Amino acid sequence: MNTFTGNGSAASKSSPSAPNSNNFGLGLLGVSQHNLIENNKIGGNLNGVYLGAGGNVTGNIIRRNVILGNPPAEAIREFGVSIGADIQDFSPPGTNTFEGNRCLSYAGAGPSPCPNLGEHQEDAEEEAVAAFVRNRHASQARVFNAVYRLNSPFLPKAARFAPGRTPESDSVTVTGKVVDAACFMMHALAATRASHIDCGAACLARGVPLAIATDDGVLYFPADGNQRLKSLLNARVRASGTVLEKHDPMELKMPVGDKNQMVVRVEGGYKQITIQTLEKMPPAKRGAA
Amino acid sequence: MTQLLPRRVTLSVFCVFALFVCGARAQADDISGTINSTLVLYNDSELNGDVTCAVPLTNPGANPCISFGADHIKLRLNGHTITGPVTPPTGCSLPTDSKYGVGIAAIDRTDVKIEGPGIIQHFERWGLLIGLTGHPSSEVTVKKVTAYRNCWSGMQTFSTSDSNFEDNVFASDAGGSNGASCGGT
Repeated sequence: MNTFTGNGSAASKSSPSAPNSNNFGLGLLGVSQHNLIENNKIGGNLNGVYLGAGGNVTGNIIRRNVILGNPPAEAIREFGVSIGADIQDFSPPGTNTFEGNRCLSYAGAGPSPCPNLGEHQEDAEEEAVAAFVRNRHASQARVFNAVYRLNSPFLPKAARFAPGRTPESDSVTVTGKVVDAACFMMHALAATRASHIDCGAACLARGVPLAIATDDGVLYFPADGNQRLKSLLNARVRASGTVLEKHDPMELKMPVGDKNQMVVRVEGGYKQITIQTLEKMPPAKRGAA
Repeated sequence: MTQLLPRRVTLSVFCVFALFVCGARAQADDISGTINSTLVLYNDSELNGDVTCAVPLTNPGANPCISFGADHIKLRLNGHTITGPVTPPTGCSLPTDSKYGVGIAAIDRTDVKIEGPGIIQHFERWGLLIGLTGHPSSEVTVKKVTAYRNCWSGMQTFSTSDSNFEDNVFASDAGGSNGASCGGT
């Protein structure tokens, strides 16, 4: 991603009578064909993206850029709204492709791709991560409350355990993905992607614990280690068994190179599942909410 | 309050005889100080200090502060700044000028790299000039470079192909292009 910001002068015009500045954040001039302009931030310039005249700026794909605030408000106030635009397009109509850009103003022969403030992919990914973290934290908070509130509906058996004892649940069923636990705690979204499977397998070979990560981000560590899960790395599984709330810290260790070691220390407890049944599930479908 | 916090993950990396194996790097030429005539690079080079450019405009066309004179080499800026002689709009090049100053030029070159972080600023025309009509360049990488307050574009490409421009910042350029169509890139 490149950033283009604050470029250009309102005084620069192709002719004294031209309404617009010919300066820009990113410009395609002369013979500029079949280029891909993707995932850039372009703001506060006299023009954001400038496609030059002459008929030789064609076949370019401009997509998923944030092109906003061009020209800046002060320039509009001083020189009028026509001094620039987020996209200033002098290319032949329809000869370039605009897809999924965030932009507000367009000047050209069209068709106009602006205004468009649709969901940006980067934001969607960030929101997915944020939602995941929110869910994970919320889930953990519920469990914590259940342990200490005797009337909590979430962990009724907890009330029957004397202080200091570790409550064990009735048989429960959890559904989730088998993940490399150390990676999951550092970057949950990456750890659950298919592209991580080789890395996860390498970590598994070095003894990193596997766990079942449920859709809301809770990790269940098998009581008998990796034995039953190791052939299911990155697969979606359904496991039933009894769950133990462990309150002692846990350390996940893995070698890094020949002489280094990485330690991920988990404080505040974790869940341990004694698996009774385990089955592989089809991958979860991702659909609109 | 502390008890309500979710599990805390502490990441520790213990480095015992930290042995980060780096590939043997070719001897690089170090650059810093004032450059009074175009510095032509023939080897991998890097800045080990800020650079001030005072290259006189003696040759027709571009008079770069630093120019690539060989293929398959790289220039690392190492966080330093290359500063030209003007402050836009004062002293900027006119479109009719036959001689003009630029920061770094890669003309007629293949597989050269300019790696930041680093700043290229205050040049009469372009901070970076990649290729020229009739003198194409290809496989040029410009990465993590900031082009700031150059009179014309932060980076200008002509006849350039198969190149990668990534994670750069082009800010407040084209403040004195005197009618030329210019901008960040």
